[in-house]
Amino acid sequence: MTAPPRTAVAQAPWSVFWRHRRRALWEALRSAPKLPLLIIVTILMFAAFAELLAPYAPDFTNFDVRLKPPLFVSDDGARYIMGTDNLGRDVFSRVIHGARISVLVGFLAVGLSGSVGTALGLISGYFGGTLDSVIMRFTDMMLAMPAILLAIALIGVLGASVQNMIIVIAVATWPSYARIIRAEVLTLRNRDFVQLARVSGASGARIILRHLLPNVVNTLIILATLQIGITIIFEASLSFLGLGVKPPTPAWGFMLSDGQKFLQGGAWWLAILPGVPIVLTVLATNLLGDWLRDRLDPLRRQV
Amino acid sequence: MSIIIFGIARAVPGNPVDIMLPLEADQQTRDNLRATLGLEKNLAAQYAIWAGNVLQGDFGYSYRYKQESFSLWRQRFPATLQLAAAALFLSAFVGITVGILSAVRRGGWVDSLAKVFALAGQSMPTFWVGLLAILIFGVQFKLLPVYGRGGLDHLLMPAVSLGWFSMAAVTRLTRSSMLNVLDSEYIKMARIKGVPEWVVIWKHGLKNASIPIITLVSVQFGSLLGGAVIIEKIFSWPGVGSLAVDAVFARDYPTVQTVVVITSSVWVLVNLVVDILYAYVDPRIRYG
Repeated sequence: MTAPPRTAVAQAPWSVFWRHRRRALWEALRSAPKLPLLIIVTILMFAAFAELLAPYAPDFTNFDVRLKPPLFVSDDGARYIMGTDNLGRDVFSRVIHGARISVLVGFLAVGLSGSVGTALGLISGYFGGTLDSVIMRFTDMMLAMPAILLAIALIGVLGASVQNMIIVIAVATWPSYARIIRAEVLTLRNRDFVQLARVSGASGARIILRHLLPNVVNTLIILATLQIGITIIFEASLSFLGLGVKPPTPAWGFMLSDGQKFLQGGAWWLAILPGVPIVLTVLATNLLGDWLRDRLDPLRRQV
Repeated sequence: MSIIIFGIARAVPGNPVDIMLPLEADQQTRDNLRATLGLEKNLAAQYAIWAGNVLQGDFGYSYRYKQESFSLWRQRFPATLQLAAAALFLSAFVGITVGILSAVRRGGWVDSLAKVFALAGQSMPTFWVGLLAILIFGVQFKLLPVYGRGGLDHLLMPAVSLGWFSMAAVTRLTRSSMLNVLDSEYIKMARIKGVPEWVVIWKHGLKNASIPIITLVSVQFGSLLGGAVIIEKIFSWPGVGSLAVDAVFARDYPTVQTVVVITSSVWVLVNLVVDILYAYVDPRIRYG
């Protein structure tokens, strides 16, 4: 008697989700904004094939060509697209290699904080009660602290490294996922399909994974895309303060802070140009996030 | 409306607990230190001692400066507060003004500029804006001093670079919030009654559009306090942010903890004040 509805209810969400997605995916990609996609693909290529694309090794020093201006303002025929630094290293090559850290930290930190935040938001929203109060009180506590101060304090404890930077950024950013996903779950948990699943004997874990999760995926994708930009700025900020990777490894944020002392001396490109890829990447993810919001979440479309 | 108060009310009782959280970090830092000094002590006991001391206003002793870390914080905080307040004022003032103008003259040149600014502003990291400002106004045209704290000329560049991001966010929100409100029936009613246009915009429009804007501005204050860390570093501004960063490098844990604990508490207090502001702006909240 109970068998047919159970299979029907239990199998619907993900398969519907994928069927719907596959059809929509190609069409969606065609209507995506081209420029942001182009920028993101370029940065990803930089990160993946830095050795092939960079004209010089990132740590190749040549004291004969110290502090050469970039190509577009150079008048002595130097061939350095973004100029060279005080050790004669090619800034452009270092920028290409620097994409690695940003992409790595951007994706892993967003992945980590997204999974932790989503898991807690789903659990908190679905089970409610004491568990919900405990998780949400904790989330409030985390949100009550300026993220960058928290990150600095944690880096102070853990020490500066790429791995710790990812952990610290995730620790500082998961609460926003938990909050938003929980709010979403609260509107879903009393809907008929969830009640039906519960009546037909599905466990809490099953309901969360097969019925609630597919319904918050849209929100999650939008949130994660917008968070990538924030995370890349976060990473650059920590690097800027010297709390990221160790110096010989190129990172955009650190290159900028390192370049600041040359601003007065006229070598402005060291303190400005490594910021351009940060701005472009963040701009691209923001535009993409806005586009996704319009597309996946028509109810909250902005005016 | 009751959702907003509820959310804030939730955050506020979190107050005593969130003073506890940096203590988590504190336990570990203390533990590290004990380990290096060869002193091991029960974490719970340490925690109790620290919490007890903090409640009595004793935040511990800075290893680096050889003085109480609270008095260090007190010396440095006015500089940060000045910077953050100036940035907040600038971003609220410019953001709201531009936001209203672009909503009122929708599709005009102010609107187009505002849209570009809102998008670009939110993609530029604070420190990059700061560096650009130094290059243009400090080095190229030599208009403004590039480091240190002093008169208004010292404050201008750090405050603008710090507030840049918030300015963009406030502009964007003000615009969409005003567009929403200006579309409603009571605005049409007011216009039909013959209320002057500027009264319609400022009194009928802005006052009703202001709840989300106040929320955003108050949230920005926290991120400005945080963002000040980087701006202070760039402009050698003697505030708590640079104190915290230097303390991390000096492994001066009590100072780091103190800065994080007190600065977070200040933010929680700000949230409380904002909560009260809501009731002032929108009387419905008092009964909600």
